[in-house]
Amino acid sequence: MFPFSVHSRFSYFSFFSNDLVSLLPEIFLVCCICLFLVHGVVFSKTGRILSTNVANLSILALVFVCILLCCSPGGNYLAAYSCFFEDDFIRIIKVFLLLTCIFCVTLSLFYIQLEKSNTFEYSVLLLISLFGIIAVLGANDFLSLYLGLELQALSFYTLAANVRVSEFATEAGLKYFVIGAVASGFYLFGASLLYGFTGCVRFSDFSLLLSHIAPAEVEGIFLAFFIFFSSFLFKVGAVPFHAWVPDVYEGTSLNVTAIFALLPKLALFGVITRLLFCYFFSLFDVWQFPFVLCAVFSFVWGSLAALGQGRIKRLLAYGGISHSGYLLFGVCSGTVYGAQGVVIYLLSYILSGVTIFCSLVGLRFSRVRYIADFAGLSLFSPGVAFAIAASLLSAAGIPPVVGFFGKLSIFLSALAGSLYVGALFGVLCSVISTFYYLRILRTIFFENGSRPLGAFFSFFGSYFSKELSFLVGFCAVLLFWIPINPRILFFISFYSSIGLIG
Amino acid sequence: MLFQQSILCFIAGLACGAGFLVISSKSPVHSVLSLIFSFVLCSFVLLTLEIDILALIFLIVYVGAIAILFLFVVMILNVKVAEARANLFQYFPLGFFLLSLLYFDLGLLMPASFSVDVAHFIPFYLEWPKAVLSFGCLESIGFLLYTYFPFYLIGAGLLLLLAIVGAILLTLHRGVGVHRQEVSFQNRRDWVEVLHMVQ
Amino acid sequence: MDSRFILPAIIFLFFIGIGGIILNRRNLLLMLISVELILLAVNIQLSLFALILDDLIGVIIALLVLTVAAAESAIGLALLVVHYRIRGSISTDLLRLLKN
Repeated sequence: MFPFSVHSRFSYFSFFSNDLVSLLPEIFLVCCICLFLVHGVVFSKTGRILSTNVANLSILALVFVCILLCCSPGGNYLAAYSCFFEDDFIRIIKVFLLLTCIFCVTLSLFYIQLEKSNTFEYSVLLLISLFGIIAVLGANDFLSLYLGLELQALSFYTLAANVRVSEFATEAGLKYFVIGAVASGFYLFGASLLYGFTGCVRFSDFSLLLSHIAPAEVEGIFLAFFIFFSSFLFKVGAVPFHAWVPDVYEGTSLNVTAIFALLPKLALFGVITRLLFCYFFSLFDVWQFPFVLCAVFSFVWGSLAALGQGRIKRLLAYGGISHSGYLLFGVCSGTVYGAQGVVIYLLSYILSGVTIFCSLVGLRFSRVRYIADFAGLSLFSPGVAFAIAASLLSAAGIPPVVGFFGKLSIFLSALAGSLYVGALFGVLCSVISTFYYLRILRTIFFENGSRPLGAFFSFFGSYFSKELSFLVGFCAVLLFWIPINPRILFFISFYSSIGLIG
Repeated sequence: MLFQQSILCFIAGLACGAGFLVISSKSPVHSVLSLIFSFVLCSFVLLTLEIDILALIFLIVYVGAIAILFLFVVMILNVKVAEARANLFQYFPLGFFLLSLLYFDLGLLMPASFSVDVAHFIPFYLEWPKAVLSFGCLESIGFLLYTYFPFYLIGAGLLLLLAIVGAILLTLHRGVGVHRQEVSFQNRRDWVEVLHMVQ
Repeated sequence: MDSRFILPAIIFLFFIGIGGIILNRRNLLLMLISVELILLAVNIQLSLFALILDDLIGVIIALLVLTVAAAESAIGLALLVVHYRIRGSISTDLLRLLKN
């Protein structure tokens, strides 16, 4: 399993050597972060514009990390004195995370060149947050999970307020900060109560402990568990704790919104699935009903509130709330199919999200803020119109696109877990959400707006950069290609869910 | 024992009172000062509980670093004293929820069986080999932190680096057309070339 | 010594911090101070549990949470200063820009 471990000769080094082998991608990432920071600081003194340079370097580093991750020794293992855990589920989510991060950096690269902003720290912060997210995914401990969450959250606060002169951006940053601080306070409070009641900090210890005691003996564990998990609901924006999501999405610049929408959802749902399925599954009877309630309210609220929205970013935010509701619903089913459904749904969410955010960034010159601004897009730029249509159809879950498989597997797993009423609500809400997604499509394809969008297009010509147009095309084609041959999707998701259970 | 407990109760109650002053006082300067007061009192609580090293670290970091940071910001910003004009009734459901949470917390925590009370088992005579060979508080924390959890230490270091980078990125303005002093360039200049005799 | 009896005070401190964030209608600085109060309460609670359980890991967690608190206050105050530069005030009433 460990190809170059040195057990025989340096036996007392074996811990560290195994740690080095198993944590090699993360260690490489941290080294790259420090190196890029030094590089940026040294060369920015000479007055060069470094933002493009560092962004390209970070794409290179991410590709290397991805390769290292794919070459890592397989199997389940604990690393670093059982602070970090790794199995196939985590590895697959990590690979998705790295690919998404590469997409986000590419998108931001275009945005940076467009806005001519000279902050090389942007890419460095993104890499630090990625490291935090990876630590969150692999955490086997309250402390490593907390450190990862804080690394991610602190760099996100900074990224949100990155455009210093915009009052919207700083306000969004402050709001995000306050909410994130409350969430981490709840996390710590719940974790400390769990620690106080049981004396365990490792999650694997919890799974052992909870399977051997009757949970009713220690009632405080329930309360501590819910306080602990409410912080995760805060972070994914599920319904009782959702109020910050639209404000933060609207206030930040587009590239940062893309990062906020895509990266944390992947990681947090990975870790929620792992915690609930592997470590706190003995409390299934306790957590199922409240979380189902949260999930149902999330997608009902997300679908209903999005109906009245005129701004595209707010609409995407409410869409994000309902997506996290569906994902949570899949987790709540408590079956292997639920975990598989979560992975499929996450994949389709990422694909459609990358497509729509890349298209919006590309349309930035024409100041598309409201849905009505999309009018006449299909006449002047049919490719982009096609890509946006594909991603919206996928988000709505209409059959020929990959999003359909996500919703289908979530609902099937809910039926397998006999959550019939919730599944009924889910289907109804996805019908409602189809309505407003189709309204955007009608605006794109069948309306000629009062404001001629085409004037901007013909004036500036095509200003999608090569990378961005490749990205949009690739993801849009993938959205249609995966349903033609869904075998690989099902294989990956099944493999990862088996890795989660076994 | 009773004396110690009553002192502990008194200090903890004072800390709560200071915390209440923090959120209720009108001027931010007053609330920062009460924050410092509550930090010091919490550190006293730890000292009374004989977690001495942590108490001292709390005193140094909380009062010496964080509170001073807050005081700096209060001095930088021109903060006016503002009246609260909230309609408190609109927070009633939320407050009720929080209070009930508090109630359940206390109700569950107080009778809970933290069964191990170690202090009863410590004999009162001194075992010399144990006293010589055993670790103190600081040694054992260091042993744990550097042997078993070095990755956390690195993570915390990365977090502090992130705080530095983020704070600089947010607050430092790098103007494009601003003239800056280049010390090395200035030192390299030869005065013979700079000075000209004016006829 | 059974030191459980000061737990109510500590939990009360935590809820004072939460209440300070939620009920606060005056300025943003108070919110950041309340965040510090929350982290302080959690820290004391962790070290108390470590004492009760006779386990050093709680102390280690408290030590690292302290680091995080310092980093968080630095970032929060930087955000506050940037906000003040643009808007000229740190009143919470100004956080109304991003509403429908």
